Amino acid sequence: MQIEVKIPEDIWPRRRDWGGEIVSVYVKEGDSVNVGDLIAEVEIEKVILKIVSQFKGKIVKILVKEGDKVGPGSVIAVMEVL
Amino acid sequence: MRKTSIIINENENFKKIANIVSKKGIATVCEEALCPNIIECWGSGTATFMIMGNICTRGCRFCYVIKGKPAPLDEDEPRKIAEAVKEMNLDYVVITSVDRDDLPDGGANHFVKVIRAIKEMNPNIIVEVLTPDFRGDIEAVKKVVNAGVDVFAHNIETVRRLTPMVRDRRAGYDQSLKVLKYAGNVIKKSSILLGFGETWDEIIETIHDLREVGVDILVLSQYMRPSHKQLEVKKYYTLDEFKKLENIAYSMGFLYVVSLPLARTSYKAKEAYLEVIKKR
Repeated sequence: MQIEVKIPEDIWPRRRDWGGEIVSVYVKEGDSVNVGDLIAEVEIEKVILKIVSQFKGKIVKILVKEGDKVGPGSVIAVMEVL
Repeated sequence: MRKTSIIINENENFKKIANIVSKKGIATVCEEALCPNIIECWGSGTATFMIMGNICTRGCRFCYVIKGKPAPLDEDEPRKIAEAVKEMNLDYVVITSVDRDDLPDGGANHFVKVIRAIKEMNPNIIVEVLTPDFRGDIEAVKKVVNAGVDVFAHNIETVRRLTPMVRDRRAGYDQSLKVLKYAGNVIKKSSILLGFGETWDEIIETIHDLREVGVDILVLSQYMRPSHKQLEVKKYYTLDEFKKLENIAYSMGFLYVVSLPLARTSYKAKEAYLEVIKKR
């Protein structure tokens, strides 16, 4: 099954008016990832968010690059869940 | 030290807290202030409730909480908060609020109702409040304390010189000291945010002033700009500098000091309370 790897929308559930930019992408297409593996880092004004994989699987597609503007719910990759 | 990172890993506890607060329609400062500790605190099953709405009458220039004209008080809020505390199975709760300069008592009576409702529904609960300055109204402060709070917190936020720049014009350095002084013999707590351009000597002076009015628990933390609309960060303090300030504060007689970049007023509040109880 393929799923989208997203920046969670509900880190601060009542506030979704934040945004930032991708500072690093740590995986490439074809990489295998485990639960907890770092996928990307997003810098918002206040902190750097480390987005980690919630599943074990394989990265099928990367949809962002360094410098891209992103926000709550932005899709950063597609992965095949194993 | 540069900007801090947090790992975004929402566990089952996080989802449970999110579900409870959303279902009851109650606000938390964890969300409204974009607190970087939300993953850790909600993930361990705790949250800091924000009462009297999510719109603040003041315009402090470091704060992310929405400013404007607040809605009327929700008379059912005390019950909702008390129920949330019970559902979350908390034994220690922190209640804070927006400023309500539109209300004659600044919201003191509402604080009292919330505290009483929590205690009635959760008899063994320990309650910490983090309050506004009630425009320096000492009777309002005493009313809240006498409702049965275990820890009274009010934040001085910054040093004397920078107060007019950092906080709303209706706030005041001496007014905050007065609020803390007249809160009486309850355990008292206050926080200073660092990074607005204060000098080392000014920090020491502020720590000293807080101890002089009987503050027991001191929180020192790094200011982190929530968005481009708030004040810039003038300095990121090192862990070594935080440690030095912690030692200085202990030497002045504080009973508990939390001095860390990511510390916030209610961060590890229960641990601080338990330590102070032992030392008092």
